[in-house]
Amino acid sequence: MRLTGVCAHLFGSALVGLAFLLVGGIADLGAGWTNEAAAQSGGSVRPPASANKWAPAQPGKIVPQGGGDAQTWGGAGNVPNTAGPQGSDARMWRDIRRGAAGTISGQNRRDAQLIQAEGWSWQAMRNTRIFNFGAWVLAGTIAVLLLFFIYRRRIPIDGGESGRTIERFNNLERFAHWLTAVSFVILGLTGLAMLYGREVLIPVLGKSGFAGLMEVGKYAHNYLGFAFIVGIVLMVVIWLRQNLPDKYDIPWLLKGGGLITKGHPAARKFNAGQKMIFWSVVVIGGIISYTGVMLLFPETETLAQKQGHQYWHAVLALIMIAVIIAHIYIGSLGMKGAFQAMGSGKVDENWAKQHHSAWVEEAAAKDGKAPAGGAAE
Amino acid sequence: MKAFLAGCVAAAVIAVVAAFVLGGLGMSSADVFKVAQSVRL
Repeated sequence: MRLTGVCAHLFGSALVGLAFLLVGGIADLGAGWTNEAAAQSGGSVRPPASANKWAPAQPGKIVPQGGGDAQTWGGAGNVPNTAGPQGSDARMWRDIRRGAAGTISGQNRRDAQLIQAEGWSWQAMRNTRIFNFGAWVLAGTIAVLLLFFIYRRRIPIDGGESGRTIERFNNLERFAHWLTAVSFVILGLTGLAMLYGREVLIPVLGKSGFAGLMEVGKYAHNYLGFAFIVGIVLMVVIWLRQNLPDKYDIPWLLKGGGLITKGHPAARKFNAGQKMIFWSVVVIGGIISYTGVMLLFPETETLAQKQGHQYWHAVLALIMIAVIIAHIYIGSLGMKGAFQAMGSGKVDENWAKQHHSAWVEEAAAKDGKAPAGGAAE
Repeated sequence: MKAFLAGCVAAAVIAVVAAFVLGGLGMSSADVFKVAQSVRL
Protein backbone atom coordinates (compact mmCIF):
# COMPACT_ATOMS: atom_id res chain seq x y z
CA MET A 1 0.00 0.00 0.00
CA ARG A 2 2.87 2.30 0.97
CA LEU A 3 4.64 1.36 -2.27
CA THR A 4 1.50 2.23 -4.21
CA GLY A 5 1.40 5.64 -2.56
CA VAL A 6 5.04 6.28 -3.45
CA CYS A 7 4.42 5.23 -7.03
CA ALA A 8 1.37 7.46 -7.23
CA HIS A 9 3.44 10.34 -5.88
CA LEU A 10 6.20 9.69 -8.41
CA PHE A 11 3.71 9.47 -11.26
CA GLY A 12 1.99 12.64 -10.12
CA SER A 13 5.35 14.40 -10.01
CA ALA A 14 6.09 13.20 -13.53
CA LEU A 15 2.78 14.58 -14.75
CA VAL A 16 3.45 17.93 -13.09
CA GLY A 17 6.93 17.90 -14.62
CA LEU A 18 5.48 17.33 -18.07
CA ALA A 19 3.00 20.15 -17.52
CA PHE A 20 5.84 22.52 -16.58
CA LEU A 21 7.80 21.29 -19.58
CA LEU A 22 4.85 22.03 -21.85
CA VAL A 23 4.13 25.43 -20.34
CA GLY A 24 7.81 26.31 -20.27
CA GLY A 25 8.22 25.25 -23.85
CA ILE A 26 5.28 27.36 -24.98
CA ALA A 27 6.56 30.34 -22.98
CA ASP A 28 9.98 29.88 -24.50
CA LEU A 29 8.45 29.73 -27.97
CA GLY A 30 6.43 32.86 -27.29
CA ALA A 31 9.41 34.73 -25.89
CA GLY A 32 11.51 33.79 -28.86
CA TRP A 33 8.82 34.86 -31.31
CA THR A 34 8.37 38.16 -29.49
CA ASN A 35 12.08 38.86 -29.39
CA GLU A 36 12.46 38.14 -33.07
CA ALA A 37 9.44 40.26 -33.91
CA ALA A 38 10.71 43.11 -31.74
CA ALA A 39 14.00 43.03 -33.53
CA GLN A 40 12.14 43.33 -36.80
CA SER A 41 9.72 46.04 -35.77
CA GLY A 42 12.53 48.18 -34.47
CA GLY A 43 13.81 48.53 -37.97
CA SER A 44 16.81 46.36 -37.36
CA VAL A 45 17.09 43.32 -39.47
CA ARG A 46 19.47 40.84 -38.06
CA PRO A 47 19.49 37.49 -39.75
CA PRO A 48 20.12 34.97 -36.98
CA ALA A 49 23.30 33.00 -37.39
CA SER A 50 21.39 29.76 -36.94
CA ALA A 51 18.99 30.52 -39.75
CA ASN A 52 21.33 29.76 -42.55
CA LYS A 53 25.01 29.24 -42.77
CA TRP A 54 25.09 31.78 -45.57
CA ALA A 55 23.27 34.36 -43.48
CA PRO A 56 25.16 37.63 -43.09
CA ALA A 57 26.58 38.01 -39.61
CA GLN A 58 26.49 41.76 -39.18
CA PRO A 59 23.32 43.41 -37.86
CA GLY A 60 22.18 46.56 -39.48
CA LYS A 61 19.34 48.82 -40.36
CA ILE A 62 17.66 49.23 -43.68
CA VAL A 63 18.72 52.61 -44.87
CA PRO A 64 16.91 53.74 -47.97
CA GLN A 65 19.33 54.84 -50.58
CA GLY A 66 19.59 58.58 -50.79
CA GLY A 67 18.06 58.94 -47.33
CA GLY A 68 14.44 58.87 -48.57
CA ASP A 69 11.53 56.88 -47.22
CA ALA A 70 11.16 54.59 -50.17
CA GLN A 71 13.47 52.94 -52.56
CA THR A 72 13.07 53.22 -56.24
CA TRP A 73 15.63 51.96 -58.59
CA GLY A 74 15.29 53.99 -61.71
CA GLY A 75 11.62 53.84 -62.66
CA ALA A 76 8.86 51.31 -62.89
CA GLY A 77 9.82 48.33 -64.95
CA ASN A 78 13.53 48.71 -64.41
CA VAL A 79 15.50 46.12 -62.56
CA PRO A 80 17.88 47.18 -59.80
CA ASN A 81 21.21 48.08 -61.31
CA THR A 82 24.32 50.03 -60.68
CA ALA A 83 22.79 53.11 -62.24
CA GLY A 84 20.43 53.45 -59.27
CA PRO A 85 20.40 56.69 -57.35
CA GLN A 86 23.35 57.39 -55.08
CA GLY A 87 24.08 53.83 -54.16
CA SER A 88 26.87 51.42 -54.55
CA ASP A 89 26.22 48.00 -55.94
CA ALA A 90 27.27 46.29 -52.74
CA ARG A 91 25.08 48.52 -50.59
CA MET A 92 22.05 48.01 -52.81
CA TRP A 93 22.32 44.25 -52.71
CA ARG A 94 22.94 44.33 -48.97
CA ASP A 95 19.72 46.29 -48.50
CA ILE A 96 17.82 43.88 -50.74
CA ARG A 97 19.13 41.01 -48.70
CA ARG A 98 17.84 42.73 -45.57
CA GLY A 99 14.33 43.10 -46.92
CA ALA A 100 14.28 46.43 -48.78
CA ALA A 101 11.55 46.65 -51.42
CA GLY A 102 11.67 48.39 -54.78
CA THR A 103 8.95 49.15 -57.28
CA ILE A 104 7.70 46.90 -60.03
CA SER A 105 5.23 47.04 -62.88
CA GLY A 106 3.58 43.74 -61.99
CA GLN A 107 0.20 43.39 -60.32
CA ASN A 108 1.48 41.81 -57.15
CA ARG A 109 3.15 44.49 -55.01
CA ARG A 110 4.70 41.81 -52.81
CA ASP A 111 6.98 40.81 -55.64
CA ALA A 112 8.75 44.15 -55.26
CA GLN A 113 10.50 42.67 -52.27
CA LEU A 114 13.07 40.25 -53.57
CA ILE A 115 14.12 38.94 -50.16
CA GLN A 116 11.77 38.89 -47.16
CA ALA A 117 14.14 39.43 -44.27
CA GLU A 118 11.66 38.23 -41.64
CA GLY A 119 12.17 34.81 -43.16
CA TRP A 120 15.47 34.61 -41.28
CA SER A 121 13.59 34.82 -37.98
CA TRP A 122 10.97 32.33 -39.10
CA GLN A 123 13.60 29.88 -40.30
CA ALA A 124 15.53 30.16 -37.05
CA MET A 125 12.31 29.69 -35.05
CA ARG A 126 11.34 26.60 -37.00
CA ASN A 127 14.76 24.98 -37.03
CA THR A 128 15.61 25.56 -33.38
CA ARG A 129 12.75 26.45 -31.03
CA ILE A 130 9.91 24.50 -32.66
CA PHE A 131 12.31 21.66 -33.42
CA ASN A 132 13.41 21.42 -29.76
CA PHE A 133 9.91 22.04 -28.38
CA GLY A 134 8.48 19.13 -30.36
CA ALA A 135 11.31 16.79 -29.42
CA TRP A 136 10.87 17.53 -25.70
CA VAL A 137 7.06 17.31 -25.74
CA LEU A 138 6.97 14.04 -27.67
CA ALA A 139 9.80 12.47 -25.69
CA GLY A 140 8.21 13.69 -22.44
CA THR A 141 4.85 12.20 -23.36
CA ILE A 142 6.37 8.84 -24.19
CA ALA A 143 8.42 8.92 -20.96
CA VAL A 144 5.34 9.67 -18.83
CA LEU A 145 3.37 6.90 -20.53
CA LEU A 146 6.25 4.49 -19.91
CA LEU A 147 6.30 5.47 -16.23
CA PHE A 148 2.54 5.06 -16.09
CA PHE A 149 2.75 1.61 -17.62
CA ILE A 150 5.45 0.57 -15.16
CA TYR A 151 3.28 1.81 -12.28
CA ARG A 152 -0.18 0.70 -13.40
CA ARG A 153 0.52 -2.02 -15.94
CA ARG A 154 -2.45 -2.82 -18.16
CA ILE A 155 -5.63 -1.72 -16.41
CA PRO A 156 -7.65 -4.94 -16.06
CA ILE A 157 -11.40 -5.54 -16.14
CA ASP A 158 -12.44 -5.92 -12.52
CA GLY A 159 -14.03 -9.32 -12.12
CA GLY A 160 -12.86 -10.38 -15.57
CA GLU A 161 -14.87 -10.49 -18.76
CA SER A 162 -18.54 -11.33 -18.35
CA GLY A 163 -18.91 -12.84 -21.79
CA ARG A 164 -21.82 -10.49 -22.51
CA THR A 165 -21.30 -7.48 -24.74
CA ILE A 166 -23.16 -4.27 -25.33
CA GLU A 167 -22.88 -1.92 -28.30
CA ARG A 168 -20.79 1.14 -27.51
CA PHE A 169 -20.24 2.72 -30.93
CA ASN A 170 -22.32 2.10 -34.04
CA ASN A 171 -20.94 1.88 -37.59
CA LEU A 172 -21.22 5.61 -38.31
CA GLU A 173 -19.43 6.55 -35.08
CA ARG A 174 -16.57 4.15 -35.77
CA PHE A 175 -16.35 5.28 -39.39
CA ALA A 176 -16.01 8.92 -38.29
CA HIS A 177 -13.37 7.94 -35.72
CA TRP A 178 -11.27 5.93 -38.16
CA LEU A 179 -11.58 8.49 -40.95
CA THR A 180 -10.19 11.13 -38.61
CA ALA A 181 -7.65 8.78 -37.03
CA VAL A 182 -6.19 7.40 -40.25
CA SER A 183 -5.86 10.82 -41.85
CA PHE A 184 -4.36 12.32 -38.68
CA VAL A 185 -1.77 9.56 -38.31
CA ILE A 186 -0.57 10.09 -41.89
CA LEU A 187 -0.70 13.88 -41.47
CA GLY A 188 1.27 13.60 -38.23
CA LEU A 189 3.92 11.27 -39.64
CA THR A 190 4.43 13.31 -42.81
CA GLY A 191 4.48 16.52 -40.76
CA LEU A 192 7.11 15.10 -38.43
CA ALA A 193 9.10 13.98 -41.47
CA MET A 194 9.04 17.58 -42.74
CA LEU A 195 10.29 18.92 -39.41
CA TYR A 196 12.75 16.20 -38.41
CA GLY A 197 13.46 14.46 -41.72
CA ARG A 198 16.75 16.26 -42.36
CA GLU A 199 18.19 15.01 -39.08
CA VAL A 200 16.40 11.67 -38.71
CA LEU A 201 15.48 10.30 -42.14
CA ILE A 202 18.23 11.53 -44.48
CA PRO A 203 20.95 9.66 -42.54
CA VAL A 204 18.86 6.49 -43.00
CA LEU A 205 17.32 6.91 -46.47
CA GLY A 206 19.85 9.18 -48.11
CA LYS A 207 18.95 12.47 -49.78
CA SER A 208 17.42 10.95 -52.91
CA GLY A 209 15.40 8.44 -50.88
CA PHE A 210 14.14 11.16 -48.57
CA ALA A 211 13.26 13.39 -51.53
CA GLY A 212 11.23 10.58 -53.10
CA LEU A 213 9.45 9.87 -49.84
CA MET A 214 8.64 13.50 -49.22
CA GLU A 215 7.40 14.11 -52.73
CA VAL A 216 4.65 11.59 -52.00
CA GLY A 217 4.43 12.71 -48.37
CA LYS A 218 3.91 16.34 -49.29
CA TYR A 219 0.96 15.55 -51.57
CA ALA A 220 -0.49 13.15 -48.97
CA HIS A 221 -0.13 15.85 -46.31
CA ASN A 222 -1.73 18.53 -48.46
CA TYR A 223 -4.76 16.56 -49.59
CA LEU A 224 -5.43 14.25 -46.63
CA GLY A 225 -5.94 17.41 -44.62
CA PHE A 226 -9.38 17.63 -46.22
CA ALA A 227 -10.25 14.10 -45.05
CA PHE A 228 -9.21 15.14 -41.53
CA ILE A 229 -11.50 18.17 -41.73
CA VAL A 230 -14.43 16.01 -42.87
CA GLY A 231 -13.73 13.63 -39.98
CA ILE A 232 -13.77 16.47 -37.44
CA VAL A 233 -17.05 17.81 -38.81
CA LEU A 234 -18.60 14.33 -38.63
CA MET A 235 -17.45 13.85 -35.05
CA VAL A 236 -18.87 17.21 -34.03
CA VAL A 237 -22.22 16.32 -35.58
CA ILE A 238 -22.33 12.89 -33.96
CA TRP A 239 -20.76 13.50 -30.54
CA LEU A 240 -21.09 17.17 -29.64
CA ARG A 241 -24.08 16.76 -27.32
CA GLN A 242 -22.54 13.83 -25.47
CA ASN A 243 -19.32 15.78 -24.90
CA LEU A 244 -20.90 18.70 -23.12
CA PRO A 245 -20.01 19.00 -19.41
CA ASP A 246 -22.15 17.05 -16.94
CA LYS A 247 -22.29 16.35 -13.18
CA TYR A 248 -19.94 13.37 -13.44
CA ASP A 249 -16.99 15.33 -14.83
CA ILE A 250 -15.65 17.07 -11.70
CA PRO A 251 -15.78 13.93 -9.50
CA TRP A 252 -14.15 11.99 -12.33
CA LEU A 253 -11.33 14.52 -12.57
CA LEU A 254 -10.90 14.68 -8.76
CA LYS A 255 -10.44 10.92 -8.70
CA GLY A 256 -8.01 11.07 -11.62
CA GLY A 257 -10.42 8.95 -13.64
CA GLY A 258 -9.45 5.93 -11.58
CA LEU A 259 -6.27 5.74 -13.59
CA ILE A 260 -3.83 6.41 -10.75
CA THR A 261 -5.68 4.99 -7.78
CA LYS A 262 -8.06 2.09 -7.39
CA GLY A 263 -11.78 2.64 -7.89
CA HIS A 264 -13.52 3.91 -10.98
CA PRO A 265 -15.65 7.06 -10.87
CA ALA A 266 -19.00 6.97 -12.65
CA ALA A 267 -19.31 8.43 -16.13
CA ARG A 268 -21.81 8.62 -18.94
CA LYS A 269 -20.89 7.63 -22.51
CA PHE A 270 -17.82 9.88 -22.43
CA ASN A 271 -15.86 10.54 -19.26
CA ALA A 272 -14.11 13.86 -18.59
CA GLY A 273 -10.83 12.56 -20.03
CA GLN A 274 -12.49 11.52 -23.28
CA LYS A 275 -14.23 14.88 -23.44
CA MET A 276 -10.85 16.60 -23.15
CA ILE A 277 -9.60 14.51 -26.07
CA PHE A 278 -12.72 15.38 -28.07
CA TRP A 279 -12.41 19.11 -27.49
CA SER A 280 -8.67 19.00 -28.16
CA VAL A 281 -9.37 17.41 -31.53
CA VAL A 282 -12.15 19.88 -32.33
CA VAL A 283 -10.43 23.09 -31.17
CA ILE A 284 -6.75 22.35 -31.78
CA GLY A 285 -7.57 20.24 -34.83
CA GLY A 286 -9.76 23.06 -36.11
CA ILE A 287 -6.97 25.62 -35.79
CA ILE A 288 -4.48 23.24 -37.38
CA SER A 289 -6.94 22.70 -40.25
CA TYR A 290 -7.48 26.43 -40.76
CA THR A 291 -3.77 27.26 -40.75
CA GLY A 292 -3.09 24.26 -42.97
CA VAL A 293 -5.63 25.36 -45.57
CA MET A 294 -4.19 28.88 -45.52
CA LEU A 295 -0.73 27.45 -46.13
CA LEU A 296 -2.06 25.63 -49.18
CA PHE A 297 -2.81 28.89 -50.94
CA PRO A 298 0.24 31.17 -50.86
CA GLU A 299 -1.42 33.96 -52.83
CA THR A 300 -4.16 34.52 -50.26
CA GLU A 301 -1.95 36.20 -47.67
CA THR A 302 1.37 37.90 -47.09
CA LEU A 303 4.51 35.94 -46.49
CA ALA A 304 4.62 37.17 -42.87
CA GLN A 305 1.06 35.90 -42.29
CA LYS A 306 2.02 32.60 -43.84
CA GLN A 307 5.01 32.33 -41.50
CA GLY A 308 2.72 32.99 -38.53
CA HIS A 309 0.31 30.32 -39.71
CA GLN A 310 3.14 27.86 -40.19
CA TYR A 311 4.35 28.58 -36.65
CA TRP A 312 0.98 27.83 -35.04
CA HIS A 313 0.34 24.92 -37.41
CA ALA A 314 3.55 23.22 -36.29
CA VAL A 315 3.32 24.02 -32.56
CA LEU A 316 -0.31 22.96 -32.20
CA ALA A 317 0.21 19.86 -34.34
CA LEU A 318 3.07 18.78 -32.06
CA ILE A 319 0.86 19.25 -28.99
CA MET A 320 -1.97 17.33 -30.64
CA ILE A 321 0.34 14.50 -31.64
CA ALA A 322 1.34 14.20 -27.97
CA VAL A 323 -2.33 14.14 -26.92
CA ILE A 324 -3.17 11.49 -29.50
CA ILE A 325 -0.20 9.32 -28.48
CA ALA A 326 -1.68 9.25 -24.96
CA HIS A 327 -5.14 8.54 -26.44
CA ILE A 328 -3.80 5.64 -28.51
CA TYR A 329 -1.99 4.22 -25.48
CA ILE A 330 -5.00 4.20 -23.17
CA GLY A 331 -7.25 2.90 -25.95
CA SER A 332 -5.07 -0.09 -26.72
CA LEU A 333 -2.12 -1.24 -24.62
CA GLY A 334 -3.03 0.68 -21.48
CA MET A 335 -6.52 -0.69 -20.83
CA LYS A 336 -7.88 -4.17 -21.36
CA GLY A 337 -11.13 -4.20 -23.32
CA ALA A 338 -10.90 -0.59 -24.51
CA PHE A 339 -9.91 -1.24 -28.12
CA GLN A 340 -13.03 -3.33 -28.79
CA ALA A 341 -15.10 -0.16 -28.44
CA MET A 342 -13.67 1.16 -31.71
CA GLY A 343 -12.76 -2.26 -33.11
CA SER A 344 -15.97 -4.27 -33.17
CA GLY A 345 -18.08 -1.53 -31.59
CA LYS A 346 -19.08 -3.87 -28.74
CA VAL A 347 -17.56 -3.89 -25.26
CA ASP A 348 -17.75 -6.36 -22.43
CA GLU A 349 -20.50 -5.55 -19.97
CA ASN A 350 -18.14 -5.57 -16.99
CA TRP A 351 -15.80 -3.13 -18.74
CA ALA A 352 -18.72 -0.83 -19.48
CA LYS A 353 -19.92 -0.91 -15.84
CA GLN A 354 -16.38 -0.30 -14.60
CA HIS A 355 -15.66 2.77 -16.73
CA HIS A 356 -19.05 4.12 -17.81
CA SER A 357 -21.52 2.98 -15.16
CA ALA A 358 -23.93 5.89 -15.66
CA TRP A 359 -24.03 5.21 -19.39
CA VAL A 360 -24.84 1.53 -18.80
CA GLU A 361 -27.66 2.47 -16.45
CA GLU A 362 -29.03 5.00 -18.93
CA ALA A 363 -28.82 2.49 -21.78
CA ALA A 364 -30.58 -0.16 -19.69
CA ALA A 365 -33.30 2.28 -18.66
CA LYS A 366 -33.76 3.27 -22.28
CA ASP A 367 -34.16 -0.38 -23.25
CA GLY A 368 -36.62 -0.85 -20.39
CA LYS A 369 -34.56 -3.31 -18.37
CA ALA A 370 -32.42 -3.06 -15.28
CA PRO A 371 -28.65 -3.35 -15.73
CA ALA A 372 -27.33 -6.77 -14.89
CA GLY A 373 -25.47 -6.50 -11.57
CA GLY A 374 -24.14 -3.37 -9.91
CA ALA A 375 -21.62 -0.96 -11.26
CA ALA A 376 -18.11 -1.94 -10.34
CA GLU A 377 -17.02 1.07 -8.33
CA MET B 1 -12.69 -3.81 -38.98
CA LYS B 2 -15.16 -2.79 -41.67
CA ALA B 3 -15.43 0.68 -40.16
CA PHE B 4 -11.64 0.99 -40.16
CA LEU B 5 -11.38 -0.04 -43.82
CA ALA B 6 -14.26 2.29 -44.71
CA GLY B 7 -12.41 5.12 -42.95
CA CYS B 8 -9.21 4.37 -44.90
CA VAL B 9 -11.04 4.25 -48.23
CA ALA B 10 -12.99 7.42 -47.46
CA ALA B 11 -9.79 9.28 -46.50
CA ALA B 12 -8.17 8.24 -49.79
CA VAL B 13 -11.24 9.16 -51.83
CA ILE B 14 -11.57 12.59 -50.19
CA ALA B 15 -7.85 13.29 -50.74
CA VAL B 16 -8.05 12.33 -54.43
CA VAL B 17 -11.22 14.36 -54.96
CA ALA B 18 -9.58 17.36 -53.25
CA ALA B 19 -6.53 17.00 -55.49
CA PHE B 20 -8.67 16.89 -58.65
CA VAL B 21 -10.92 19.75 -57.60
CA LEU B 22 -8.05 22.04 -56.63
CA GLY B 23 -6.10 20.99 -59.70
CA GLY B 24 -9.11 21.70 -61.92
CA LEU B 25 -9.50 25.14 -60.39
CA GLY B 26 -5.81 25.84 -60.89
CA MET B 27 -5.43 26.09 -57.13
CA SER B 28 -3.32 23.07 -56.34
CA SER B 29 -0.18 23.64 -54.36
CA ALA B 30 1.81 23.06 -57.54
CA ASP B 31 -0.23 25.56 -59.56
CA VAL B 32 -0.18 28.49 -57.19
CA PHE B 33 3.57 28.88 -57.40
CA LYS B 34 3.27 29.31 -61.13
CA VAL B 35 1.60 32.65 -60.55
CA ALA B 36 4.93 34.23 -59.71
CA GLN B 37 6.22 33.30 -63.14
CA SER B 38 3.77 35.67 -64.77
CA VAL B 39 5.18 38.65 -62.92
CA ARG B 40 7.67 40.78 -64.83
CA LEU B 41 10.05 43.10 -63.13
